[in-house]
Amino acid sequence: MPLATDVAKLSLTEESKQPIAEPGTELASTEESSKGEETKQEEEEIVDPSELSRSIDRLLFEYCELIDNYQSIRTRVSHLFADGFFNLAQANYGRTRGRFGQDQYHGNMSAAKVIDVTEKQYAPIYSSIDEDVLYCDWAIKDAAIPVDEKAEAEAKEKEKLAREVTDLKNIEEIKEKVSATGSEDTDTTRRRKGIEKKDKAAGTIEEETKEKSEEVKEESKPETVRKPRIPLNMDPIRWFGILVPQQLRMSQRCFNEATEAIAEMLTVISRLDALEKHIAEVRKL
Amino acid sequence: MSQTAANRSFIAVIGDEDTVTGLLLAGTGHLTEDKKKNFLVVDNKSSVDDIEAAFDDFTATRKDIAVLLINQHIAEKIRYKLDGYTNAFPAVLEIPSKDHPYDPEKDSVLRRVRRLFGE
Repeated sequence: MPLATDVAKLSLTEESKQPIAEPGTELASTEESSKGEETKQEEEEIVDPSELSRSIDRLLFEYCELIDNYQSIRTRVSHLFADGFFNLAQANYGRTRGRFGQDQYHGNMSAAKVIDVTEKQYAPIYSSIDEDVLYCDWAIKDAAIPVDEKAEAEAKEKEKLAREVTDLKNIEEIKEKVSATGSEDTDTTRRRKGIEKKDKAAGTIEEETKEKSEEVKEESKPETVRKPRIPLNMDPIRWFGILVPQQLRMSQRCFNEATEAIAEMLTVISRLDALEKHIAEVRKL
Repeated sequence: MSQTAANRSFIAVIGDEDTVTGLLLAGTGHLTEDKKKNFLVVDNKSSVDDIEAAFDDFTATRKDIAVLLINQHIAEKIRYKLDGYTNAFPAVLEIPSKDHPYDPEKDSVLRRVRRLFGE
């Protein structure tokens, strides 16, 4: 720790009986290593005899930073809500009757966005207690889309049927073509040849269609994997109709962002709570 | 992870129609198997008792709510309840509404901060 020794030197020049910086303060000094002379002076203060109250000051400083963070997120949330309401009002304005509201809420809605809370810990930079502070990290995550086995089986069956129908159609078309060419022949030998040809052609074309259907199978498979269908009760924009105004989509975007910001804000509040308790503990010492 | 936070995942809302519509658009709306909503639309007809009942339901009875969002002007009506609420889960957060922009003077977090600094 070269900086700790720097600090020790500085403090020695001022007073010879200085306590040595403890782990928490060393951490602080390494973090601020690149900040020029002002920070050096600050570090000199860390090893001051009245260290404990100073460390509380520093904890309070960190606390203030969190409050600042909280307020900026608050402002952002307020703006996002205001934009969301404005877009919703515009969407309503363009409507000939009624408004986008509770009459259209889905009768069996299911949450598409849920909160995920995880407990985390962090060490306050300026703490005099060598102890991690526990706080909760809030995050918005997408809810799992339920697998509807019945619907999936039905969809698969429909796909199969559709494929079979197209195969049959192809074969019929080919047979028709071949029979058309066959009827043009007048000579019996030609006709016989034609029949042979027809059989051959039908055989090769049937093979072709098989290949084609296989290709279709291969193409369709990844598509079904790529697109898990969101059920209507989890897709709120669809509750309000098929062709909803652009403003309603914009409003949805604003509220989506607002919920994300709210999760962020809850994390900051949780850190504030944790730090508050920590400060109370340090004050008791 | 504390036991109280486990299985809590839904965002509950007590607000005016536009606020609820907006947050439902964001995908927060949920009905339980016994058709219990995680939101309450407050209009002119709603009484303070209704709001109180919904608040108690979301914060005390139900165990699947992670956060309760409430319009600040509605929170004012049940302020004494909010001031007495100290649990970490579900978290209660006041949000602005269409007709009532957010007032920092009434912010519970900032009021707590003032207390910490001894004001």
